[in-house]
Amino acid sequence: MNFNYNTFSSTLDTYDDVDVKHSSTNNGWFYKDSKDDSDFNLVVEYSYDDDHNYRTWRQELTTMEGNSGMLVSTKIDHIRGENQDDHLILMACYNAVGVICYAQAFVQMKNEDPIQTDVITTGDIPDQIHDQIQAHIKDDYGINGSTDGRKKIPHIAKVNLYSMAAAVSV
Amino acid sequence: MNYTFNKTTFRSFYPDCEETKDGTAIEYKVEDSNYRVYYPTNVVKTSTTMQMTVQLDHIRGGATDDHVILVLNYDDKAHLSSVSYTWEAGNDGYQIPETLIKAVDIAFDVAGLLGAFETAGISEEVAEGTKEVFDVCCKAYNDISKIVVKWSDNGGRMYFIPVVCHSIIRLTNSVSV
Repeated sequence: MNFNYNTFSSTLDTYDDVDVKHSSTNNGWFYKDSKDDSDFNLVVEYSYDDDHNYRTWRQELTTMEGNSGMLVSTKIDHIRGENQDDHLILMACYNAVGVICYAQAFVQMKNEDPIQTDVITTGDIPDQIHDQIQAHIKDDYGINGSTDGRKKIPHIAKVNLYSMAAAVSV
Repeated sequence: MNYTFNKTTFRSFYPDCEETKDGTAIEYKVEDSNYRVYYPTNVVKTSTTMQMTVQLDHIRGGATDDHVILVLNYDDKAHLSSVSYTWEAGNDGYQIPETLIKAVDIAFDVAGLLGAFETAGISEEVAEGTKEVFDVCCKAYNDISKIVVKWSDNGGRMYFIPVVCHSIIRLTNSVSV
């Protein structure tokens, strides 16, 4: 089983209002720390509605015996300038024909209760991840709370899962 | 039964890793954090089972590392039958006492995983092993993250949970009988 990182970032760039930065170079992937050229230092950064900024770190993959499944995980940062980033961690599994069969997500925001979805293995998995995170997003996070950017986190989780699915092949 | 753990195979699953601690562990960096995975120790073999212990660290420069200890049990087909874990967060005094997960006890609906095995021509034996390791990883991730997510808003500490799950599968992929 394979995961095509360029397909991931180019798919992400196709969603309405999502704009991958520097997408003409290396499909948007660049080394977060310019002095470190290891694979897991690669990131894609993108904006939503031009105003809210997110960063997806290179997905980590483990293929199960005989290409019978693949576990994919990633961390996504909601970039908040001077304030501490929010973190979204996604785990997903793809079956032997490359279709998503599991996902679970959690979100951490400074000084807020963490959000954790259930283990989701049936139905429209990205949609349920979206809805379960959405159910815990507040209307207002106050001063320096990046409310509008946080409200987009459920959508960011969903488009990341869709783009990951596009990247997986068997 | 003659169980083998293939160190070279195991190491190959960690991109850009380096051997460390006098060759007893590997270290790799993911995102902005470093993790150390020790090679298995305390390997106990019987004629139909194998048990091994694996320590993992989330390296926190200038602070005490987070430590996880896994005890993995394999059956006569080298499938993962159970894992027990302890989790200790450096400095903060948080910990998860030893907890056992048995593959047979898990009841997730994994039809989406199972349905593809036949289409893809996966043998029954491989399919069975994959289902077991998948079940254990999902359960471990769910149970551990529920607790650890409350401990801090540090992304590196949180991502340690996926690191442990990947490692459970990679360890299992390195065991043969």
